[in-house]
Amino acid sequence: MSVAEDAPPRSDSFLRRYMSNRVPALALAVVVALFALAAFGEFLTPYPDHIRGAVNMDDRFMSPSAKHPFGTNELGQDVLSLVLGGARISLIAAVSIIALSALIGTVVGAVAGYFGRFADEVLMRLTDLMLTVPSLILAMAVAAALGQGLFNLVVAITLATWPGYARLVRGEVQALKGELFVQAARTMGAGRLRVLFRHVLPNVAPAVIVKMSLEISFAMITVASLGFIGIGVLPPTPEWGSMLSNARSYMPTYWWIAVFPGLAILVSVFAFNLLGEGIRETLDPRGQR
Amino acid sequence: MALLQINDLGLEFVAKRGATQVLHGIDLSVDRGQIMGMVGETGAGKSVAAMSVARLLPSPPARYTSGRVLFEGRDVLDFAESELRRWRGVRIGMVFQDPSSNFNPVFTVRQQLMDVALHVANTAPERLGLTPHAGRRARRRAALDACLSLLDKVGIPDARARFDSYPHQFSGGMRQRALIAMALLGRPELLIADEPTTALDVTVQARVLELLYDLVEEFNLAMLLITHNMGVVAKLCTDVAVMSDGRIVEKGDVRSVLRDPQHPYTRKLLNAIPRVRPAAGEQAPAAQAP
Amino acid sequence: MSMIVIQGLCKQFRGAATGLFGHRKPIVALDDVSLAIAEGESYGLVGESGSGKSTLARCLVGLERPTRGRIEIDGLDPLADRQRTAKRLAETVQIVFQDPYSSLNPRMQVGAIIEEPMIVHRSRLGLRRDARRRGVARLLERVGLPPSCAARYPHQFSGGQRQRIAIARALAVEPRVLLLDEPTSALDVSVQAQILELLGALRRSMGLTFLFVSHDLGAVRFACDRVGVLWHGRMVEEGVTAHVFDAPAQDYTKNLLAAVPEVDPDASIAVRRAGA
Repeated sequence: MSVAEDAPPRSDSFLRRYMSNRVPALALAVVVALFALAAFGEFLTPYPDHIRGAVNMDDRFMSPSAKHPFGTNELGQDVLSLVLGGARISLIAAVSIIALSALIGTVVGAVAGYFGRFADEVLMRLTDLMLTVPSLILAMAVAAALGQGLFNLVVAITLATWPGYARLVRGEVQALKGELFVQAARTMGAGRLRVLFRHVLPNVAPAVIVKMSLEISFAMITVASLGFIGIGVLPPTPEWGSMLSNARSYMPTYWWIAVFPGLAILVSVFAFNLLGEGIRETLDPRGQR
Repeated sequence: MALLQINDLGLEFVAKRGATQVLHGIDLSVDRGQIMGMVGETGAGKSVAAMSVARLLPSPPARYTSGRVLFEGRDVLDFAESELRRWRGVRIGMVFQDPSSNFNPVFTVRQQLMDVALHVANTAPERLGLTPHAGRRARRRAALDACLSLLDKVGIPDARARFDSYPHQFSGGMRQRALIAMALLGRPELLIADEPTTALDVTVQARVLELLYDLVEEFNLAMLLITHNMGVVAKLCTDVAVMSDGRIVEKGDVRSVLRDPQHPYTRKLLNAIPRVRPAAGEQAPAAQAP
Repeated sequence: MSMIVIQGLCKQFRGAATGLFGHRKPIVALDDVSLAIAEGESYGLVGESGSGKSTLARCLVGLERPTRGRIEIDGLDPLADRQRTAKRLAETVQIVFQDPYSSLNPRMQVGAIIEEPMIVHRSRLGLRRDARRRGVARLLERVGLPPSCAARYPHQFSGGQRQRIAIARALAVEPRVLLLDEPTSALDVSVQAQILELLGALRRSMGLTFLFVSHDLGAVRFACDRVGVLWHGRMVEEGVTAHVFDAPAQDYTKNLLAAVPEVDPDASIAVRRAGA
């Protein structure tokens, strides 16, 4: 048998395989749209100054109409403009929380799993300690201690989410250490850092990416929840959770003030969840070829 | 008519991007007392063929495209699900390659064998010498007796004492023996063994092959043995079917196929095997090294 | 001159505790094993599972530390100063593993896999990037693969092709010894023969020394000049392969050889029973 004859098949690109499923493809479109709105929403809104806190007391509590598709709130602000403006806060917060958590968790997990022994003991006990406190409560406590504001919000929630990544990465790293190709690299004379960065971490990445994409929605909900109980972003900056909280007083008569931010949370959380699900399925080696 | 008769069996796997034909019109028959070896390399379709006989392939993706699988003259492909359950594990027994993954590690050997034995006692009481109206106690008693006598028969010493062990407390060879005993609890007419000795050491393999030979004689079984090892075929089988790319390229009694292979693929396969005791003038290039 | 010398090698593992507070009985994997392999020789180490043959191989490349004993490879003592000798050891001995499916990093292109040892050992080999690329192409050719394979990923290859890639990677540092740990056991018969032929050809053309660890006696007969039989961590018999296999002196070796199913209808159970 000539080896050259049976050329192995080329596998499809990640994106093509991902897009071959309809629901995740739709979710990706929604997520891309969300990012576009967060970046350019300001220029699309009919009343950009409302995002920056301007009020219009003449037009309070107007129901949805051509002029105000989502109606106006108790300060006469256009709800559509606020929802679009809120997208930026929600996304910035959620993405930075997850990116930070994944970074810290990967470093801690990799050091603990790869170098083991003492580092493992210390880091994992610390991680366990963090995991014993319910994450929302921890975030609340930290946010309350640090004070309000977007940055503090991100720090608070990150503190509560990184241990999950550390645990995941440590487990994966430990499993990979036993893999034959890692042993092959060691017998090749490769140094520890080379083995870690070339052979171990790239194979941990899929698991981390899947967890990240699934947890962005969780982070968005946490941001909104903290906004809802009033320890999130400072008004007048629009944030979906605090808008919802604020709208409670005017339910059910002025339902639109609550419904549209709520729908925004629902749609984006749902889209990120489906996106994560789709990435997980595409990266699953059993689904390949 | 033979006990198992496969006529023109075709099978495909249906995927999102079209179907792949994995069996192209297999014809095969196995009768009692016969040990049919199915040999071939990875992807030849030998395991798929065996699984499709027992209808163990999930459908979809598997789809039968043609042919019949006749067991005592009745088409297995027409069996209803309830009928299949009464048939599998009773009329046919199956032994798979890896003895450790075929036992559930959290249950004892007793629990797992008794499960099967009680299934037999409930669905086919006559096979354990029970009347259809036998009570629960009688069934339990008969199931227990069947387990112990079979464990004894497959050569597990002191079966009664080891019965309550967990699978990991058995050696690889013993686990495979226990698995064979489990496959025979229903007093099957047909035994399908898929690479039953591949995971075992050679000395253990030799003993398990002897055991299989004895069992075929004693119970007058028909046996379908899937293997990639021509040596195992030579040692144990009466007949052989050589598979390649979902087809049987050559079949016949073992002696004539091994002595005088007709198909080029069979010849290639036989020539590729390094011999432990090569005949004079054959092989051993290491001796010619500089 | 001996390329590999092993003297009185012992290895014990901590055994599993029997019961909750049971005494941990050490498991003896290697018990006073000695052997010497000449330069350019192909030495087969056979035995069944638990015989200690894999443990011995792992000790040689530093993946396992023996409890007692002495190892010398090309004048190097891998046990003496592991930090310092690790790299030099890797220059001398390379290993080809049994399972070509897990021995290649699934996220690296074949070219990068084969190039990596050259990067790790660049101070000795002194190869620049384009020289390494040419080296990869030459190695691929040497193991019978087209150079275009370099841009593909391991999962796009069959088992036999992957084993060729693993061999190319092992040869990249120009080692003098190849440690072959069941290199054909995971492959189909016809592919096994090809890999054995390839290894034989490489040994002759490059003057390599082989330590061939296997339970496949046929492959060992095919590929090895001398053979050692391990049983429960002990060397029970050693000698020229043809002599040992044709006229084994020890009972265990006799049993082992008799157990191998030969492709001979006259050796079948039925014939033997009929004759008995």
